[in-house]
Amino acid sequence: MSTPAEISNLTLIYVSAMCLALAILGHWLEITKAKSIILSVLRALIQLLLIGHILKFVFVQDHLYLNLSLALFMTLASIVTVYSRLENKNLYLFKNIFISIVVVAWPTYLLLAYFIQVPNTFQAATLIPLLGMLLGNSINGITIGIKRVQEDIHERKDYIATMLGLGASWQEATNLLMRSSFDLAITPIINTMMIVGIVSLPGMMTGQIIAGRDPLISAKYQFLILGCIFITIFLGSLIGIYLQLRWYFINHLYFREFMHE
Amino acid sequence: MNSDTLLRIQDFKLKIAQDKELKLEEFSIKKNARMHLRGPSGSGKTSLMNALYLLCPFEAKEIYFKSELLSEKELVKLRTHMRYLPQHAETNYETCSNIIRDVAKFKSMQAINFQGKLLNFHKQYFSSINLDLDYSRLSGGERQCFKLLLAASSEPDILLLDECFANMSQEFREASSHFLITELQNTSIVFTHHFQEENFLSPTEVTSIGLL
Repeated sequence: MSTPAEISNLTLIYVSAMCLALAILGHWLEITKAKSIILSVLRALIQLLLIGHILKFVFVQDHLYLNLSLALFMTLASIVTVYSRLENKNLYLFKNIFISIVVVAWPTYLLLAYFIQVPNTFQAATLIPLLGMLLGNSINGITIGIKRVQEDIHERKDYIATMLGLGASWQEATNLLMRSSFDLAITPIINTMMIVGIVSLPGMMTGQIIAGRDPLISAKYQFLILGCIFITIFLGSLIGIYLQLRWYFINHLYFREFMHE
Repeated sequence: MNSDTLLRIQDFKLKIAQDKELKLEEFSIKKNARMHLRGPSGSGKTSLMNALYLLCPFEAKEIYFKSELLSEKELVKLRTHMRYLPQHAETNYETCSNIIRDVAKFKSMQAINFQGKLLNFHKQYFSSINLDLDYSRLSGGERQCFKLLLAASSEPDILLLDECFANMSQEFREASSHFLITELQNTSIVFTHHFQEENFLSPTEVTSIGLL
């Protein structure tokens, strides 16, 4: 198999320009704001180039503390990203996101590292990309799930109060909201797993195939990764949504939506 | 404390708006009473109901239930003796039978034959309501009666009904009051509704709150 060609800076500029042109088109059609698209394209380009340089350095050094520091930085960045996208910001929310991400993503990485039998669990070449993949995917699930709870709880406060009035515990009264939020959080990964290999090949597998790896080995790796991403999203969203719902009930009793603050 | 007093709250204080507070020197509910809360719009009737059901915190010097002084931690117990039908009560939009089945699954219902009692009361007082229909297909009055059945069929010690008779036709009002008076003789019922309907349920006690 041939090795992939070097991508020139000019190619990156071409792709960026195409994305920016679409941003302008979207703005002209009044279907989206150009500013956020331009910002996201530029951020993606700068962040990826920057991390490319950092990883090059980290991979060469491959020092335990350096690897762990970078992994911790990535974890913190994930927590801050989720936190910044949500409303009703407070210490409880931060703690909730911290637990949902750290308690799930790190153990799942250890499990994954065990499955693929890496010689050193904390070596840069596996820790950084694999943990990054788990964190990146859990961000989406946790954000979607908690956001849904925050948006819907006010709308459904009469239903929840009625269920409480009929003798439900807070968990029973919010069961419908829990289900709909969780469903929304895991739908993207379920859809991905349904179509993987039929409609699309995931990024990691595509990268490995382009890099000349045996497609069957790439497919097995991809399944491991996908399974672990599913575990991270499933457990992370479940914990995040549950803890967020619990926040609305002080001492398992008072319902914040009925309190005058 | 009188032995016929079920719940007594001393020095009750509740914030009902940013700059408004409801204060009651003493609030008590007698055993098997039909208690009518009276007060103008905005006087805090609904807020008081929410607070009594512990949906929102309130200040109090002492709270007694069945002559027993309750600590803050024991308030959870208090709720298990009550049921509450809020003014804007909503259920999901499944069939009434499914809603009954879901409510019967609540842990607090495990010890009582909720479903059996409800179906019996339905047969006796509200048989015109088709329980196989989706809740969304019921009329406003039928919905109110159905929710009343859900709230009252567990025969709690205290039943709180906030504007429960609104949207009911005369026929449903009579069936509802007949049901409550006949079947819930061991339940204290606290209710709010419009002035013109004050004699509804033949209140044994009228408590005025707010400025009249």
